[in-house]
Amino acid sequence: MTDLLARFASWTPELITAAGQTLYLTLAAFAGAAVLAIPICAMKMSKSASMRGFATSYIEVARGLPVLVILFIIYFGLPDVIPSFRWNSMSCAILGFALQGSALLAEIYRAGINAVERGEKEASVALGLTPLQALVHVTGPQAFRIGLPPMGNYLVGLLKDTSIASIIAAPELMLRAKDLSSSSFMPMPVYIYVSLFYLILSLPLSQLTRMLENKRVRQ
Amino acid sequence: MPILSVRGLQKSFGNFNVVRDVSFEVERGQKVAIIGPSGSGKTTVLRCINFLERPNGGVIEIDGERFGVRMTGGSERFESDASLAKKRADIGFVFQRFNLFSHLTALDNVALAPRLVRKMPREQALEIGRRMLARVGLSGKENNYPDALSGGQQQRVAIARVLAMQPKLILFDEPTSALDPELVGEVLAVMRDLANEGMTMLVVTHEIRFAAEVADRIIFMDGGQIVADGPPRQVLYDQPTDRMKQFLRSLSSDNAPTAGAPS
Ligand SMILES: Nc1ncnc2c1ncn2[C@@H]1O[C@H](COP(=O)(O)OP(=O)(O)OP(=O)(O)O)[C@@H](O)[C@H]1O
Ligand SMILES: [Mg+2]
Repeated sequence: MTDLLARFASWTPELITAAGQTLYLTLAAFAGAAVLAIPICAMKMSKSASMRGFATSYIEVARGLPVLVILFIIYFGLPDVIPSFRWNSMSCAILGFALQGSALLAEIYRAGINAVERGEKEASVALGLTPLQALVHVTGPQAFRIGLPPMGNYLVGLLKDTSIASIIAAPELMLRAKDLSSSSFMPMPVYIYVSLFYLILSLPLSQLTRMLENKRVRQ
Repeated sequence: MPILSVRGLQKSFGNFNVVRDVSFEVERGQKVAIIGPSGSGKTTVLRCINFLERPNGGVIEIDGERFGVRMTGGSERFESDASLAKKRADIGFVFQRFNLFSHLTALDNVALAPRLVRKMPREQALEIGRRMLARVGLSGKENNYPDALSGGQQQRVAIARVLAMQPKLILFDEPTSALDPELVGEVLAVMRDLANEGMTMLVVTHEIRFAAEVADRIIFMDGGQIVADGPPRQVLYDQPTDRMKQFLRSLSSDNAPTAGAPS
């Protein structure tokens, strides 16, 4: 027993570092997805049929592929086609998750914007706000509030899914766990301990989501 | 020159002609009520005036200026969103369902458009907001969100929001018909004050008594057309058409005009 505790203690520093990388991967991919989703959502809601068509195809493809396939295409496929492409596994993972996430977030944004009362949009138009002002000051803030819970759920899901990046050797929690498991020959204790790390990361996030959900978003 | 001139207005949805050849004018300071049975096209006429709905034909002029269409090089073009927005800012629109911004306090609801459209500094916009809320009797409710206000209070905030833009003309679309009966009076009282202060108002309403007392003219619409346009006494009492008599009978008794002539 004391032997096991000593083992846990010896694994801890390495796993804390790896947890930091998992968190970094999660937040970077989320930020990338959140920004990339803006033009995609704009295209999906545009008046031009070809813009809408492009956005729809992008969303369907990005959502329809397993994220592992996207990661393999970026990590193994791209360097093969473009020899000068030399991103490390972490950057490739961020890009891959961001690309897929942008499709999900674009749909969340759109649902939020559509859920804002039509009457409020009309009131802003009748007062003389331009379409952009109406989006920034009336539709946007309310869409954001409506979109927060699904965005939070996506973030928690993303945190867990980043474990897939271990397959392209991104130095995050799951990769370290696999290393420790094979070097220590103690898979069960290692993976139980790593589960604890994931829970410590994900529980506060889902808690935070719930809090934001209950809070009014003010201007 | 009339402040609002509507000539030959046409609007159809699909092949259903909702508004057919509607023409009328509103002079500065005039109060005009539009009445008529449900589905006769009253709301659609109002919405066409500030281009919330694009007319299929006809001319809208505000203060002599053509609305929604631009003449460029001898040909007519639809006006850009930005240019339309600038003109809409001078026309108030009060909706049946208030349509307050639900994420903003009463004060921010009123101050938003002066800040964004009139480019007023924040403090000045808030000051105007407080003044307008006071004007509709809502001092002390500045920090309430819409869902913490009664229907009557929400509609008064909506009126304050329109007043803060110092409109040339205010369009009201059945401003009291979404309200519980006991809340109708407070909104009509505010509208009466506005009328007394000389505001130009075009009001779609089922409140016949209010129309008879406050309006300079009543327009009676039926089937997408104006069938009567004149002083209340004339339209309602002196020469009512059969359709008008039928319409007046269809209104609830407490709302219908009393047997005698209006005051
Ligand atoms: N966006 C729309 N699409 C299709 N039909 C519409 C639309 N808006 C209005 N209509 C139809 O046009 C007709 C006139 O509508 P409008 O709302 O102008 O009437 P109204 O006189 O204001 O009636 P009410 O007293 O019930 O408010 C109705 O038959 C309505 O169903
Ligand atoms: Mg109507």
